[in-house]
Amino acid sequence: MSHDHDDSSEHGHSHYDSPASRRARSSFEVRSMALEAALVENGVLTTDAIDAFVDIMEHRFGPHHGARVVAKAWSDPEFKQRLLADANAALTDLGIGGTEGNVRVVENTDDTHNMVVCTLCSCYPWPLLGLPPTWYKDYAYRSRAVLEPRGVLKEFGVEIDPDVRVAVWDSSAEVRYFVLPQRPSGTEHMSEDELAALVDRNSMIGTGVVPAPA
Amino acid sequence: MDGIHDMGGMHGFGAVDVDAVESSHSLLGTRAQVMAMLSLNGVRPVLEEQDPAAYLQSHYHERWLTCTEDRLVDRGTVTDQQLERWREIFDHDATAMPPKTVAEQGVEGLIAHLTTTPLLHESVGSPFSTDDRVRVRRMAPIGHHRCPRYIRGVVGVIERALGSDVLPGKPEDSEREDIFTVRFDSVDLWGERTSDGEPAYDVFIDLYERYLEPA
Repeated sequence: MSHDHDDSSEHGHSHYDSPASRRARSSFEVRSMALEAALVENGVLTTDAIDAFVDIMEHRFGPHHGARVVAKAWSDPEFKQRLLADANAALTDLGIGGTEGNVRVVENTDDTHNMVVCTLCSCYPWPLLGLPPTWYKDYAYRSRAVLEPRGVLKEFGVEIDPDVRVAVWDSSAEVRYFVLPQRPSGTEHMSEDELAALVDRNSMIGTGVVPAPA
Repeated sequence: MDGIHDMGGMHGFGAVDVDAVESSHSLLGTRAQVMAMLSLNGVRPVLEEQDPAAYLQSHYHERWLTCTEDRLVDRGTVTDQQLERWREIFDHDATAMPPKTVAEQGVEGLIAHLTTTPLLHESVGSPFSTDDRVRVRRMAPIGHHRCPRYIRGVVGVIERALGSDVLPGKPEDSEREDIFTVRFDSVDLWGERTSDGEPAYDVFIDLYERYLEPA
């Protein structure tokens, strides 16, 4: 199924070859490398498959896609309508998709503030946002987002007006939720690229809002 | 199973560390995650079977790594002796690296799987529809499930019918069932709250039909 491969540049172990890996290896690193060595040795996995997956998950997927989608939705009402009605079709047209990418977009308005959690795991719209931040996977967020969302939001520095209804989306099945944040004032003349640069990851999870440009 | 992973509504984990960084080398952590994705058929059932004390004490990628090691050794895909031999090598020789191979058939098929959006199927028919009031069943489910404890016995309203799919953890050719987004009012989940500054809010959660009964 596979053969030895000597070209160190093409499929270099870029994740191991950094200066950081020259220090004493942690137990996690040693165990992870040992598992890889055993799986490759037994022909269960090949290095190029592992490298390709890591590259897609770390680089092809990411919040730059989410920010582009938000900026387009703010700029193009017809696109926004399609995005809210059938996000997967709208995203496919932009070439965005993949595993963990069956998406529903929920819109923040003057009346509703949406935030996303996965209490059972750490499900997250990978193609749009990449891999989740550490806090999203941690126990404090997973336990408390459904119990005291405003208390959690305050820890992110976000205060939601008491008249605004908070909606928490607990992604328990196969759909992944993505928040379309509110467009800040003072951005009326901005291009999509300029708008996308304002949109950070947390605003698309609902633990942030997009501030008006300084 | 109703394990430690089912954390919604628990107390005691403190404030969210909003600036937390991964405690493992993050690229190596992703690498461990990828090995799990490529070598196990479904990771979550395995993660959830981990000893609860170990679950709480491990960081995220460590959980993935431990579960992958355990399951692959159980299956005989790799052996403890083999892992130990390689660990000795990587522990003592800082220049040692895992062997490198390429797939003779290429990896395009695997990549296509990763870059294709998995959509739900059409409804297979259900007694429930949008705007129905439903109660989440009380139960003690065996095996992997997608129904957290904090909603059981609580009445909500179906907000959207999503289509159908096989319940995760079941064989892929099992019968599909319908999935619904159900809205719960926080007062129904947790009672009236007057002291903690949380006005009523909504929790939306996607539930397979088997978890619901008419209310």
